[in-house]
This record gives sequence, structure tokens and C-alpha cells, in this order.
Amino acid sequence: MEHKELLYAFSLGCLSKNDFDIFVSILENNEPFAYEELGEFQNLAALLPAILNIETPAPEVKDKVARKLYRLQEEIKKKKEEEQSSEKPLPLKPQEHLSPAHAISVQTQEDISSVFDEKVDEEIVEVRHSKAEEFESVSAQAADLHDSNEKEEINNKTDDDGLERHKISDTETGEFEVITSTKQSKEFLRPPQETQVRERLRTDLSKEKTFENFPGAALTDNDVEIKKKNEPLIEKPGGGKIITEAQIEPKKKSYFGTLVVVLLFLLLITVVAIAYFKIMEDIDGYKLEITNLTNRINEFQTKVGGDEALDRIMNSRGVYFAQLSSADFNVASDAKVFLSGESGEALFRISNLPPLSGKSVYNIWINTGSTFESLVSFNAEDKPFTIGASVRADLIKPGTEIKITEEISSGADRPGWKIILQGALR
Amino acid sequence: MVNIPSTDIDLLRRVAKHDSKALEVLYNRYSPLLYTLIKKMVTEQSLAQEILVDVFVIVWRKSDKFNFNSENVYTWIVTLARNKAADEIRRKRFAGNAPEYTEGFEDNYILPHLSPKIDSLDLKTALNIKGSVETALNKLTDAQQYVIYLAYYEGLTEEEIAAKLNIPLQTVKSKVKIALSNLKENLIKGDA
Repeated sequence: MEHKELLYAFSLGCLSKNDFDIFVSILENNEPFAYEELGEFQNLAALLPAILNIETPAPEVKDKVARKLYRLQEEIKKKKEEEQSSEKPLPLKPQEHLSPAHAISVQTQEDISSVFDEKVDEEIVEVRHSKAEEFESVSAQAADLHDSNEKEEINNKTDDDGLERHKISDTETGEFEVITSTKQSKEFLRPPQETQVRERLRTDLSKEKTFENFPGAALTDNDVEIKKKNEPLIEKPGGGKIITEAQIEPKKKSYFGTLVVVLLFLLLITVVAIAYFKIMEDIDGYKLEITNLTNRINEFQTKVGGDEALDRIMNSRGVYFAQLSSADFNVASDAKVFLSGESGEALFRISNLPPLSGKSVYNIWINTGSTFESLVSFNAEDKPFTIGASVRADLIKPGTEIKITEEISSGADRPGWKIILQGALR
Repeated sequence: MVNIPSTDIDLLRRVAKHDSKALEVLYNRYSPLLYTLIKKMVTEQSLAQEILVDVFVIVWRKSDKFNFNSENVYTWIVTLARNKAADEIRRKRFAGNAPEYTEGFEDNYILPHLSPKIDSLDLKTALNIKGSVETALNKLTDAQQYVIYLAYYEGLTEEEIAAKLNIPLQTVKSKVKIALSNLKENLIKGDA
């Protein structure tokens, strides 16, 4: 079998194991193949569930995902510990190279694993800083320091208030305390008691050049609070500038100010939007009124024009008449034809034609004896209307057949199969 | 405040770097669709929930195996969920004779093997054109729709479909091909 034939069943996921293995080997070896077609059918198959009535899973499923991921993380931690305890430590694989943030997270979880399932709320105030990426960039460096135990020493204890305090001694940064809540987070992958990095420094730490050298930075995986022990002032490692709580406070106020400005801006946008839609509504109303008036004018002009033409025909010599009707009794369409044998002027008064499909027009035909000749093409209107046409004098005689058919808008040289109305001159 | 990128591909990149917040956003975005798909396949609610959990654990562990050049997280994650649910169905069906679920098995039979030349597709687009897909599907014959249903939702292989319907294997292969080709053609015509 040609391998291309497998792509349909492969896309739908119904290949047998043997065929599947053959097909995958083609893909993995980058052999010449109809890859674009395969991609199209894979997308097509993936669209199938989109038409189902979407159902939301229970909220606890999300918690289950979080728990499972933490069990997984624990396994990695244990594996790492086993490797460290071996006589000759093996180099860690990249994915196993846990940052101190991960290490602390797992360690904390071990401490509180018994209460993981208890639904309690997290207490720690969230502080995030704008240089999260820098955390990651320094995490590997910090991890090395952590792993070697050369610079850090972490002591854990749990207070009565439910907070775990991890004292971190560091030769460069001095002594810090990492406070961890034992109350559960509503966040997805944080366990309730996960260590929350908490910086008191709401100021822009990105401006502090020496921050990148702060090994504890890697510990602040978003939500852990780090504060210098017993110090009302927060001193940057390395003896940089000192920031007090009072200096931090105005920042909070500025957030409130920003919030007010944003709310005012949103209010302004809302008012403008309401005004805009009101004006647009008025414009639409006027447009509708104009359209109605225009239609009435056109109707009046048609009527007057039709009446004038009818007067001319009726006052000429050799007046002929035809009543066109449908063979289908369910069709209410109707047309009357007035013809002047003297001038060749014809007038069609038509009503109740069905609406046309997008690319069609109505066409009036007259029988020349051997074939049909087109008189005029027009679009349907929902009200009775009048159309004028000229007819060759030799065709204006009793018994001449007239048809109204639906044709494609590009035109036709003879009547199509879709005859709407027909009749003969009398 | 760290801004979490909102595109699927950015989220998956962050998941590959073990950003749990990104996985949460991805979960919030995709769990309803995936849960609906899985439940449609396995019918049992608790099993569907378990499989959904497994799917996101796989996403967490194996997102680095995604071809980030393709930028089609939608098809990858939907196919992953479908494969996982189909595997569960087959394991129940084989009752003990199923192959052992190992890392290698997961990499080969559960993780999707997407074409390197696949167009990008996202959840929003998929949901926007669901009406067209439904119309295109409804235009297929009952037999074609049934074959697609058996293959995609019941996780049957072509051989199993042939046995179930008591028709030659070659007929099933032909029907699968025609059904998908017509579905594609109907979808293109519908969009035109």
C-alpha cells in the first residue's frame, strides 16, 4: 500500500499498530511525504470535538492536577536526594537541576503534606517584582550555591500562627527569613502551603544593579516574603541604598491614583461609546426613512410613467393583451402584458415574483416562431411594478408566446428550464 | 507583576520552562474542550476527569517535545487528549493484554506526531468555525459519519471497524479516506 494512503487513518487515529509504526518512522526520518496534506487532515480531525456541546470539568479536577504535579515534583526531589547520597555524585540532568525555589517548595511541602488536602486559605500578601526573568537567570547560579551548601544555611520552624519561617544565612546577603504560609492557595500549582516569595521591596528592584548577585533572588519564585531579620529598614545586600516602609507606602497610593485614572478613562470611553451608538442609531433611523421615501418616490414615478405608457398603448391602433401565469398553482406571481401593434411598445405589469438567488435575474422572452428573443432582464421587487420594452412589429400577433424565466445574471441566449410565468398574446 | 503571555504557543513555551501559572492559564483555556472530548469518548465522568488530569500532567512533563516551529498548540493538545482517552478505551477493551504504559509508549503512542508542515490553529478559530465544521460533517453520508465516529470517538482501528461492521478492511480504508476528503471539501466549500 502506498504510504500516502495511511495519512487519512493516521490523522483520525485509527491506524493499526503496524501501520502506525511504519507511518511514524516515515515522519521521524523526514522522508519525502505529503506533509502539508497530512497537516490539513490533522487539523481537520482536531476540529471535530469543537462542535460538541462544551462541558466544564468540576473545579476539583484542577486541584487534582496540582496535587499530581506536586507528587511528581516530590519524586524528582527524592531522586535527586538519592543521587546526592550516592558515593560518587552524578551530574544532574537539566530538568532535574532544581532551583532553590523548587527545592524549598518541595521541602516545605514535605513538612505540610499531611494537611495538603485541607482546604485552608493562604495568608501571605502577594508581591511580585518586574524582574521575574532575572530570577530565572540567576536561579541556576543560586542553585549551585545551594547545592554545594557553601553559602546558605536554612533553618525551618513553624509558628503557632501557621507560618513557617525559614532562616537563611548567607555570607553575601546576611541573614534572611523566608515566611511560608500553611494555608492553602487558590492558585493552580501552588500547594496550599507552598513557599511564597514575598519581597517587601515593592520598589523597582530592577534598578538595583547588585540585585542580580543576590542568591536569595532565586528563592523568590514569585511569592515568598523575604525580610531582613529584626530590621525595620530593608537593606539591599551589598550595602546599597536603604528603603524604608515609609518610602514604600507612596507607591501604594500611586496605584490607587492610577486605578482612579483608569476608572475615569473607562467611564469616559463608556460615555463616548454610548453617545456614538446613539448617534449611529439615529443615523440608521434617518437612513431607513430616506430609503422609504425614495421607494415611495420611485413607486410613484413608476406608476405615473406606467400610466403614461399605458395611455399611449391603449390609444394606439392594434392593442394586444396577454395574461402570464405560472403552471404551479402555489406560485402567486402574475403579469399582465399590454402591446401596441402600431408602435411596438410593450408594458409588463408584474407582481409577486419570488425573490431571486444571488446571481440570478428575471428575463422576458418572446417567441419568434423558430426561437425565443430576449426582451428585457430585471430583478424582482417585492411590490407590483411596471417594465417597458420594445417588440418587433412582426411578432405582435395573436398567439405569440411570452415567457418570464429565471436566468444567470451574465445572460442567456435562450430560455432556461426555470420558467416563472408564461402566456400568449390575445 | 509578571505578565503571562496569552497566546497558546507562548503559554506552552512557559510551561516547558515549568511555569505553573502558564499551565493554569492553559488549563483554564483548554480544559472544557478537552474534558468534553474525553467524556464523549469514555462517557464515565470520573474516568474522564482522571484522564484530563493525566493529559495536563503530560503537557507539563512533555511540552518540551512539542515542535515550537509549528505554532499549533490546539491540534497538539486536542490530539494528545484524544490519544490518551483512546488508549484508556483500548486498555479496557484488551483487559490485561494491553502493552505496558511506559515513557517510551507515551512518547510514541500518546504524544501527537504532528506534520512539520501543519498550519497554525487556535481554540478561538476552532470555535469560530464550529458551525462550518458541523455543516460540513452533516453533509457527509450516514456511513461516512459513522466511520468517523467509530474511529475518532470510539478509538477503533480500521481492522476493528471492519470487524464490527462486518465489511472488508479495504472498504473501511476507502471510507475513511473518502469521509475525511469530503469533510475537507465540504468545509472549504462552506467557507467559500
